Amino acid sequence: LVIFKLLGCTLVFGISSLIGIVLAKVYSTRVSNIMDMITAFEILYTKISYNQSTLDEIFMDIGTQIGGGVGEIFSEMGIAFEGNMLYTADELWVRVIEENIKKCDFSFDDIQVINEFSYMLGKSDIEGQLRNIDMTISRLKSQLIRAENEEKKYSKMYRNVGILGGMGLAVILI
Amino acid sequence: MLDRLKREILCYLPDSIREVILRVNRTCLEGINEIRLRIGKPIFLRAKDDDCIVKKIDGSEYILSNNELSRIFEMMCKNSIYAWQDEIANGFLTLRGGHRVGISGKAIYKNSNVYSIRDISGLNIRIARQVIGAGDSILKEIIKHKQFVSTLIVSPPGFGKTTVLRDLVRQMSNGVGEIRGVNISLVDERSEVAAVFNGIPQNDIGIRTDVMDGISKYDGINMMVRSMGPEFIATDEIGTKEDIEAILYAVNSGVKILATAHGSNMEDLMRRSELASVINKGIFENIVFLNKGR
Repeated sequence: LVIFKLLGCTLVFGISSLIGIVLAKVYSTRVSNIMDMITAFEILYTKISYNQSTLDEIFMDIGTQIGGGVGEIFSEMGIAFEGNMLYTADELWVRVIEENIKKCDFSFDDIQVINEFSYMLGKSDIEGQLRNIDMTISRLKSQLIRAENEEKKYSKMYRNVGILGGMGLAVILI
Repeated sequence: MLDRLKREILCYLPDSIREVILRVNRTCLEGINEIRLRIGKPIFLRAKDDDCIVKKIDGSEYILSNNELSRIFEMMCKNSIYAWQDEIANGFLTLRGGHRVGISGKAIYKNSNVYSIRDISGLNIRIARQVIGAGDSILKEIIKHKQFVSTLIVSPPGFGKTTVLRDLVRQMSNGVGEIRGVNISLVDERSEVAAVFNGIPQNDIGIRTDVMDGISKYDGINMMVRSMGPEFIATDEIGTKEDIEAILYAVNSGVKILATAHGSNMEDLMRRSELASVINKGIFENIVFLNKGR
């Protein structure tokens, strides 16, 4: 009986800690996802500014350069844009983001910033595109500051609550 | 023709427009030269001797909306209008297959030059047709002592100068009978001869032809002579002082010229001082005048 109790307590402690760690990780992943997204937009800026490549080629390039969830989104974006004859750039962008956003841990506000970027996408001259990218990068940087603050605030808290909660439940079970 | 039309042009149009265009009579579609799209106006198809207005199933004219035109333009630019900025500033795009799309709208100036065109209000899709053999009747005139010689092809607009030039470039580049092909540098200022799309000429311009696309004749000729070692420079519609300067530079470098110019007859050419100077210098061994029936 004691062995079963000990096993049960360990299991409860383990699961609770894991939940805490997973919840804490969401905050740190969000920070790294936003950082990757900013890098992606910086590459987009450079490619439009100097190469004047088309969006499908640029998105593919970003996908291979960035990697991770954000990289996957851009690779999917490149595939969707290549040979597209049905949708305008904004329609396609929102569509691909919607289908692939679960690969990252963005907040609702982050997604809104990313989607709002699409309004001008591909529709204006180089200057217009660069202004739009600049604006999105600065909005993402603000989101990054918020995400880092939230990470500091909640990440540790969730981890501790998970571990301590698990310990508490284990004590009660004993 | 219909398959090519579907594959290379109608693919850019929304389903609703594609359907009504395909309902137009077959003769008009087979001989189609232009599709004219204007906001708030009916869609026109121009064929050789015909002008068809595109109509809906109920018989009323299909009126193009602003949203439809913007969408078509965006598709033609591969969702990346900025990537075609230079072409747009020149007033046209080149599509796969060599078809040219003329653009009308509001011109935006920057440093006294047209920088872009905004608020696109109309598109004129000109269907490209390469006529293989268009230069056959002239070919024998430009060969002397089993060598190609410098030639100027002259005609009023619409007589097929560019078509003839394109075919001559192809044949001279490939070689004709016993005469070996020559290295030709084609300076294609308005992308009409080679119709380069994504760096690939959409028209057959021969195996020994290098193309400098979308560049002024002056810059293009100078660059090609310096870098590509051509035996011939081919270019369309010469006439300005700068064009002639560049041609003289090429000739002095030992390069022969194949060019076209606007004009109806010799007097017409000689009235234009720049062209007269180059003719008087004997740079062209042949001057060929095209008439409507060639």
